[in-house]
Amino acid sequence: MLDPTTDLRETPREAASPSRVACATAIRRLGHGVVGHVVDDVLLDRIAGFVEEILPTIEQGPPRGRPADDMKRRMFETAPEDGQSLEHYPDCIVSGPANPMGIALTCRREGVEAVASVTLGAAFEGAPGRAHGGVVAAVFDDVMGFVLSMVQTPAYTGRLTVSYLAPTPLATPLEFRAHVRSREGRKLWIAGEARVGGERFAEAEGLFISIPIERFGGAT
Amino acid sequence: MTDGDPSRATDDHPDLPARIDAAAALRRLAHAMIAHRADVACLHRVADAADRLTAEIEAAPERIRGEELVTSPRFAAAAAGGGSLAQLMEDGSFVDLFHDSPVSGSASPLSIGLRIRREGEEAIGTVALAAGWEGAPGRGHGGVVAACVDETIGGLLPILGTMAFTGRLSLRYVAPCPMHVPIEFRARLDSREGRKLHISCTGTGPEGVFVTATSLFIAVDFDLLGAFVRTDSD
Repeated sequence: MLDPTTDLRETPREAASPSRVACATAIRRLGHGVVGHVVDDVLLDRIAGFVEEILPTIEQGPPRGRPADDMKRRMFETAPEDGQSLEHYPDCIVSGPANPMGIALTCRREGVEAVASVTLGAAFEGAPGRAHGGVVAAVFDDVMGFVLSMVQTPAYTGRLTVSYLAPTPLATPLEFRAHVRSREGRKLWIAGEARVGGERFAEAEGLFISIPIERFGGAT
Repeated sequence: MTDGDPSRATDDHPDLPARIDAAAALRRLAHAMIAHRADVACLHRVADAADRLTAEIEAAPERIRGEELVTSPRFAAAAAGGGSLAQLMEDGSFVDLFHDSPVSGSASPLSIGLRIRREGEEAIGTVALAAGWEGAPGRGHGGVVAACVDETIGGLLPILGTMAFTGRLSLRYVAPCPMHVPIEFRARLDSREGRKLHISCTGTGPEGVFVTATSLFIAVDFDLLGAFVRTDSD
């Protein structure tokens, strides 16, 4: 446990403190609660009121930088070992535990595959009763990004195709897997699939274009 | 902001304006938290308040959005008009199919904040990506771009007068997606064969096109959608 009385100025974005992750987790859960439950006006007003009250304090805080060098180091300098959990950066909208609006999947290396686990909450509903197709696409994009770390290759998404085979359920553990299917020069083809209870509900193919590490996160 | 524009509040539950306000506040909080450092006491204060509010919310009954949809006056009006929402939507008006959408929903605390409007027979989605939607440093996350494309195509469906599910979505990322500046997604119907809708979409920023996409959507009969929704929520 961290001592809440410590005036600990956080390090920049690459290393979110446990307190920040706990805070983001609490805000995500509140967000899913608002979407997923019948909430009366008074309570909704209290939520808005609390934000109004705390926002000036937060906005007075110093800006959080996001050094690209750190992301490079984390993602590409050392290959993750088998079984190791993978992280792009803590604020990542898909896999970052510190993003208060994030999908917050967890990912690990399993042999040559990146394997992500996620349970989509109420706020990720698209058509009634099923997850939003755009959220499924976002998860594939991110999981394929983990494969890039595993093969130590900085790259940008060139093409991504997602095929939706069946509805994606909410509030159910889902598994997304991705691996390098083939490689030719700067082009990497990464294949992905998503399953629920063993049944495949989506598959994806990505084409990634590798770039020199010094250009990753640069202006171009 | 124009969250209160009349096109958004014609059919809905009386709590919608309060939901929209609470959602907007939580989105502001989230982006502010990403953009600023905070001391541990402040983080604990936010987390504790959120936990207390969540405990109250989770004690309330769960919403069944399928039921809300099929019982909404907008759905009833569309069904009475032969299943077309197009007649309810004039040129320039906002397309807001699901207020709770994680991409465009004004009432979602986790929404990307895309706004979709009708322009003739096209759907136009606009947004400026804030701090929380970054992928590689300085550029919008590829998955966020994919979600905006999918949503803009979804916004075209009521203009076409057809409900449909995504069958396949194929994106070409031709340039970095810029952050913090207005970007625009434009979706149009290329062709239609039976239930298959071929829809394309282009994303453009101040420096030009950054993504092009093609998609296959499978049309669902309006009555069947109602039946599907009812069955699912039983």
